[in-house]
Amino acid sequence: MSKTHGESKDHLDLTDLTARREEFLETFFRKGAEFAAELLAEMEKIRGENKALSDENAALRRQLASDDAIRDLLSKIEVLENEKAALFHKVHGAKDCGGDLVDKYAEVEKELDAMANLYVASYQLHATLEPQEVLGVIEQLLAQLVGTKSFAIYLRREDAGALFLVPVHAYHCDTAAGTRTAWGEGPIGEAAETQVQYVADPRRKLNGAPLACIPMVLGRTTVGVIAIFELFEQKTEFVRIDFELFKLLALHAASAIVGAGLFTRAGGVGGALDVYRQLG
Amino acid sequence: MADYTCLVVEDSPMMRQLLAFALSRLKNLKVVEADDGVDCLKKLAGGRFDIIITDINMPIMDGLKLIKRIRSDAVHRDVPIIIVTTEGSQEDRQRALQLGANAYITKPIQAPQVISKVKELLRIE
Repeated sequence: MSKTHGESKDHLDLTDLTARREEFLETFFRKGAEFAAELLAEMEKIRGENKALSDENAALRRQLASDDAIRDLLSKIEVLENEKAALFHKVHGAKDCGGDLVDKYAEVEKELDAMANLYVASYQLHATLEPQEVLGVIEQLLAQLVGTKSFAIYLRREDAGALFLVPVHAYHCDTAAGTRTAWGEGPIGEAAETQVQYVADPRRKLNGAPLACIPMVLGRTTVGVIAIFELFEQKTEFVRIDFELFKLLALHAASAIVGAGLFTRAGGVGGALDVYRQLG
Repeated sequence: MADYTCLVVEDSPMMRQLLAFALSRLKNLKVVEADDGVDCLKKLAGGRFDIIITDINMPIMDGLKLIKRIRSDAVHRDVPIIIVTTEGSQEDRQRALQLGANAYITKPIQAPQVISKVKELLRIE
């Protein structure tokens, strides 16, 4: 009985052992499978992370390359900006220079104009030795070059030991007609005495008084005075060339008037040249 | 040889000389001078002119009569005319322009003004 009971107990232990072994094996393989699955998942995860890192690395490389390109572009822009500034500087310099040239050109034009006026005035004044023509040239010069509407030419004359100025030529000028002016009196007489020209502002009302008195002087002697009374309406002021012409008239008109007088008194070229015979 | 010919009509030798001097700065322009309107018509009959500069107050035939004659002439009616005169009033200016003058310059003249007007009318650069 006890053997049977022992055999039965052994049989039970074997069955239990087998069941345990089966259970162990099942657990072992299941856990192995689970572990393998976990490993695979982990590997997959690592692979994903690796890819992400690779992508990030590639992006960073691209970023770096792009930054280099931007740096290149920025340095090129800087170079171009410098070139632009240099060009602007040059253009401004050229502009300033061009402006200077234009100003200088205008100045030269003015000077040339003034020289032409003076040349023509001087040429015409000495182009004749006929007294009436000399007075005509002075008239033309004052009317055409200065813009004088009315004026009179006074010459010195001595009467009974006293000096006077007598009008010998008047242009649109009633003021001067038949009058004679005492030496040293009024603007005309004073200009003759002092040999200093007098010029008033043409915009002032002068009530018949002359706007300008130009003494004509030869050597130290006053030959006469040119008195200007009115200007053309378009001529509102005296300008620089007018004063140059007045200076020219002061000397050249005096010599032209005296020269023409002497030439006429000498009876023309032959008589005038007689003077030189004595020198030879 | 000059490209253009300008006829300057002036009774004052001084003004003729001054205008010729001013216009000599235009290298391609030749200047011919006439003493008055009649002399101008004689010179027009003998040649071709591209522009005329004339005074108004002149003996024998004045500048305004001259403009009338030129504007009624079949050959020269289109020639540009510049008046250079001492007459500065608006009435004188308008009268001259109505008669057919192309420009009106008052004396005393300034060479650059005359040159500029000639260049403008002849369309010279």
